[in-house]
Amino acid sequence: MLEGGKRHSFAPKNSRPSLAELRGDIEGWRHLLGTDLRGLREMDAASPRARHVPLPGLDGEYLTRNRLIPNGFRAIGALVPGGLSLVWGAVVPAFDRTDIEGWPIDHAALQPSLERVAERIGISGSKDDDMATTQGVDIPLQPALPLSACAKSLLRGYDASGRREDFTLGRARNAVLTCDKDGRRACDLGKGCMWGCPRDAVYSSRSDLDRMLVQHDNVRLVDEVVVESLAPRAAGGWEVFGSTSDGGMATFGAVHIVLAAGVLPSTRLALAATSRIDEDRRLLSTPAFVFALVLPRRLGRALETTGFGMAQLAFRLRLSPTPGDEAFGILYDADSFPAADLVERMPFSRRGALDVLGVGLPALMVGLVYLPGGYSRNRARLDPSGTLVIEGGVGDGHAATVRGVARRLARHFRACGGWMVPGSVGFLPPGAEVHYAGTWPMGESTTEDGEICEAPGLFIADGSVIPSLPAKHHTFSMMANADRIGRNLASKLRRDRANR
Amino acid sequence: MPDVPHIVVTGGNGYIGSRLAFLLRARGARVTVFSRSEGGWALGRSVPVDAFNGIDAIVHLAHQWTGQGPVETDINVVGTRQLLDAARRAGVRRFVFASSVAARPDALNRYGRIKHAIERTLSGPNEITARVGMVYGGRSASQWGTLLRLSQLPVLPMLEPKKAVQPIHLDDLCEGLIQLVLRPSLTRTVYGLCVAQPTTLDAVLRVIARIKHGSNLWIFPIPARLALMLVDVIACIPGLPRVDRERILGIMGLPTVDSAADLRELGIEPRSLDVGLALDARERRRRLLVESRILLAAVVGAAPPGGSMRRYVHAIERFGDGHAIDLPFFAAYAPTWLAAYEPIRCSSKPLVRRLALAVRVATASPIGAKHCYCYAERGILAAVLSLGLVAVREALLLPLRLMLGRIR
Repeated sequence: MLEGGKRHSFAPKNSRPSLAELRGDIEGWRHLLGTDLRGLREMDAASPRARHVPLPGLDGEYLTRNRLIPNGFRAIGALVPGGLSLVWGAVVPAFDRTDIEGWPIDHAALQPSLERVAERIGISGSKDDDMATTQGVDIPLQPALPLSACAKSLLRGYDASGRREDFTLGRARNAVLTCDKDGRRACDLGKGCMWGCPRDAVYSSRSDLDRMLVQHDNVRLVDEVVVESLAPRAAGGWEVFGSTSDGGMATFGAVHIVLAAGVLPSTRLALAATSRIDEDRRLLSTPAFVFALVLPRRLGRALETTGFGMAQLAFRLRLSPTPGDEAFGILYDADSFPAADLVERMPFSRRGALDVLGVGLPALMVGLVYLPGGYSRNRARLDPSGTLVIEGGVGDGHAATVRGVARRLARHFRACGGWMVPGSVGFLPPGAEVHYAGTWPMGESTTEDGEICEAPGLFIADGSVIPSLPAKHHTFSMMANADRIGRNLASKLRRDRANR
Repeated sequence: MPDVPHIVVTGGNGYIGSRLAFLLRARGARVTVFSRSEGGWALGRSVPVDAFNGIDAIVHLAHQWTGQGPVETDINVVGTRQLLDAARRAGVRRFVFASSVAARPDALNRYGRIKHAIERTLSGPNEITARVGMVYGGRSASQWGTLLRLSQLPVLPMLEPKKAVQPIHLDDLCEGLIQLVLRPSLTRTVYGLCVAQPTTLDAVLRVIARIKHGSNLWIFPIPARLALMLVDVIACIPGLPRVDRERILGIMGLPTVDSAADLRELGIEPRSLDVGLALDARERRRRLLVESRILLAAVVGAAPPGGSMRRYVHAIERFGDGHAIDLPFFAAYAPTWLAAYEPIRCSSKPLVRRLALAVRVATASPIGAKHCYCYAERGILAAVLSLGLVAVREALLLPLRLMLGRIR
């Protein structure tokens, strides 16, 4: 396994004071800003978690080393084992039958892998609400995280207002432990999730990596090597050329190569390996926007001192009668974010915004809505110099679509007791949500097992092979598909060995 | 490089070295200084066998000015060779040698010839030469000290006043050296650390005279021999500032180098001479502290604690341009009125960006946090009343913000 970043062994800490305690402690800044003051860096539209968790490469080295040039597209990545899973939102709905319609596999082929991955990473959630069907009913779950007062209030309003055909609200599914598992400790409800999880309750692939290296003595990790290119060997198999962090070169060889470097680097490597220069490729993403929601009945209440600090609720909004044409969204308690992130989006003076938050924060939620991949218009192309040029874009009339979706959501939330704050809708630039997929779709550019059609032995296991992208978060289903591809490859290798 | 790289700086108590060591430590690096005044190390002395074990990089700044005799046997050349051998034995990953743009086999002064001889001893891909231009800024020392003293004179006879020079501020140079040390990969082994666009020596001296001494400097060209004779004469007259012959020769013999690509690769944008000279570190920090007090008070409406002010200043020095911005005259007396100057939905203006930083710093302290995180019940009526008052205040501010926000 080749890894671009430097590996650090990670030991979960016992605990950290709760967010409420940190905010009232004169030494709390050490956690809230970091002793190196990394929380004060000027960052543009990155995840709030990315500000507080050190991610090597996020400053641009990731783009340079992987030879990516984005135009009008936020290409985000990190050079560290675990990558963006160290800062992700850990929302893990599963793709259902409608979501994978048009894929070369049926849902039954994916289901065992969904269950295995769910067991491995630990997912908490509920199967007893209206969002259970959308997020997957046959997934092994740990008990759900307790809901915040705002989330409870909104969900009560939803239940009381009667069911609607086109709108569903329920608990979010989170890759967050509510029971200890494999050395990771259950969430202690300190609410400081945006500042990183010291207990490793929020899943990151780094913990998988550590465990895998201990459990399997036939796995070798070579870190600090960024793969530059791949070339077929005359005798069969592939030669892999990588660059080390100190500027040196490293070469490896194997009969089978599985690319899982993330959609953008994998796309570049596969295009280069198959000499597809200047070929225009579709790159899917899920155009997203944010909004603020006020629950007037919570005004004047106190902020909660305990709770979970990431997505509380998930919702679905049907966009058209076409199956799968649905928006998917999540709702956070606003006090889970640093106030500074909220102030940036408010039209008041800084002082005024802080005063408003002082009163309104206990009643404020932040929503994040995604549209299906079909609403994106990104393109990727390998230029003759070996650089992947990515052009970001959205469909015609995107702004009007978003305004329409926001209006309908506002109406539905109003019926539940929440008021969308006028003027709070904000567009995320293409790619900023980091849901990339679809450059090497299974059944078209690759086999159903991710093997590139004209490059035998070269597989892709990340989001590149996902043929279509629903609005819901794709990470969990992408991991399950990678699990399926890996197991099928292993079975094939075992069969080949037995036949020899 | 590891998370906490261990870096040796030779000459680490000198003009450049002390600033470099300070900035490296501020970045979280572990710095070991090799110098005569710290540990008694000097160029030419043998390097202990295990001296560089566990060292990630060496920045070699030390220079002995007292050497005489052939360049090849000069103590700087011999001593650097010893350092290099020890570094290679210990497997040190990066060796950065601070050379000079004057480094040439036929340089006018001995310094340039020695630097050239040392450059030739470097051979590996991670043995990097930094050709440093005319360094200015910081405390009065080294060549910068000479320039300060020359610019103090009312009239300066000078050889080749139109000589092209490429100055670089001390902090920009240190940033360049830090990049050369910490960057995982570099594309070449020789880098020019000086502004890409040369200026003339007389222009530099005039700017120094104007900004540092508040005076005009008259410069007239003279023959080289006479210039050096005058330096010798000045040295004999008590009370007059001393000027080093070797440094005069160094200034006169400066060639120009094309550093644009090097600076671009390292991500360095050297500040202009005017900006670099206008503020020295102490004054700059004082202004930043004043700014932090005003802006932190502006966002929370109370005098900020010292810790918040220090964090604000450190953040600008570390992640920003390190300079205070211009604030309206009344800000020091009525910081909360800065709200009238805040543009609506504009994040690129310096005042807006600094206020955003102030909010981040302020809300990470208990005093600021209590403004926006309310962990006590206040009741619906009190909440609505508070929101109403804020709405009235913001509505009154709005016309001012629309007008004044455009100005600043």
